[in-house]
Amino acid sequence: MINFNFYIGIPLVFIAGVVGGCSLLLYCIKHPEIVDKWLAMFTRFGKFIYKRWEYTYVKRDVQSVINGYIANLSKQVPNLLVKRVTLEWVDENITADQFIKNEMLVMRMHKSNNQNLNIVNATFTFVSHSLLVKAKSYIAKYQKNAIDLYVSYKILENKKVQLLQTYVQEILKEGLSHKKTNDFYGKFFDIDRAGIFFPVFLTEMTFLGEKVFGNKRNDQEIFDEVSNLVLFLYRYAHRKLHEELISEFDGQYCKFAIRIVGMSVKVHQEGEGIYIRNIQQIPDTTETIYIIGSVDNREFINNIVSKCLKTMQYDVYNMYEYQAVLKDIDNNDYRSMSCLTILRSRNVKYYHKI
Amino acid sequence: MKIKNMAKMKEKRAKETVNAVHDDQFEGFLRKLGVYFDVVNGGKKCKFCGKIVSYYYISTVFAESDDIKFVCEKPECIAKFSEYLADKNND
Repeated sequence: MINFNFYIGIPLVFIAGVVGGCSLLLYCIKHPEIVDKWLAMFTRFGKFIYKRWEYTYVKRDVQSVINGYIANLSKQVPNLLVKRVTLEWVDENITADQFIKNEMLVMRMHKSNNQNLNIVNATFTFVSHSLLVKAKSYIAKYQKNAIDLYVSYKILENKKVQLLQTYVQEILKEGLSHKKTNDFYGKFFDIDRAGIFFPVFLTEMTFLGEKVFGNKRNDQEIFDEVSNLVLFLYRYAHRKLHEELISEFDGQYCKFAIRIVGMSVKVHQEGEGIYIRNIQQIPDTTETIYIIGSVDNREFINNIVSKCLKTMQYDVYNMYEYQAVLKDIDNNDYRSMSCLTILRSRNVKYYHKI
Repeated sequence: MKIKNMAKMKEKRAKETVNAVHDDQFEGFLRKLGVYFDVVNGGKKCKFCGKIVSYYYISTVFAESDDIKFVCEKPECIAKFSEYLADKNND
């Protein structure tokens, strides 16, 4: 009698192994930050056995924190185009001539017993240097500083408590000693609680960075527009639950509208029509439309969007789910899972001749 | 459209390499550059705050117009340095 279990069993185990191995490999290629995290965890303990792992730990740990955040951020702000960071140990035998000729820049990494400082310094340097590079060349210094401080805070927020403490002591305290920066930072905090700092504010900043200005740019006009934008989102963030705002921001460079698909009574009684009409009435000079609603109404919103797009010159730019903290009618916090659909106009004005 | 998306994906996957030196190698690194004694004798200043830079508080070493410059670990100096790099990138 032939043992079928034996003949079928081995190839099946082999195929499952190959498929599993390939999937794992693919996952590692797609998520190098996870590999960094595992290697950092492994070498954190291994560095006491093998000295070279001290270097691996310092490098991989820094990379995993920064790149982990970039991976997450790219989902919220697709146009951010921030590059992943790789730390490369400098050649020990480099000479002054080579250093100068190659216009090199070398960051110092402390020993792993001071790893918090390494991560904090690298994070802040990375955010200041790489995030919103174009938009930052247009906005005011205090606005740029507030963005850098807030995004760095967000990167470190969910890591170790000591890391956040190091950040607060080493960088945040000093940064917030400037009144205007502090004021902006405070507003970012509230805007982010409402879930719209990254998907709306940073998205608008990336769009601003894509603009090109002819002749001499009026810097003050842009500074004022960014301040007004932050104030607009701050007011929006303080809206009450079920409060439906029809809100358009019609700046010189940032032109967007926010629409809330909200109250379940309205959704069920009046249906899609009222929302479709409302969105279709948005002026076509509006470059971006943000449609926000509860995740429970996701399908309802998708139907509205697909019907609107039949007649409007817009494309779906991003879809995103997030947790928002809103205020109920008694001004208490109310947590809600929200979804955001971003529509981007096909007729965006990129060039501004001033 | 697809080509545009692929270009964007490629750009997203791009890496930014940052050169680094570990504390264990830092003294040797400065010696190789010929600036170690200048630093420990208080002969080098932070490019951004203009104060004498101590060996223990150097955060970055970089080359600029045929010279070797230092950045101290003060947050405002790190921020100014980042601005300086961003300006350089935009030029």
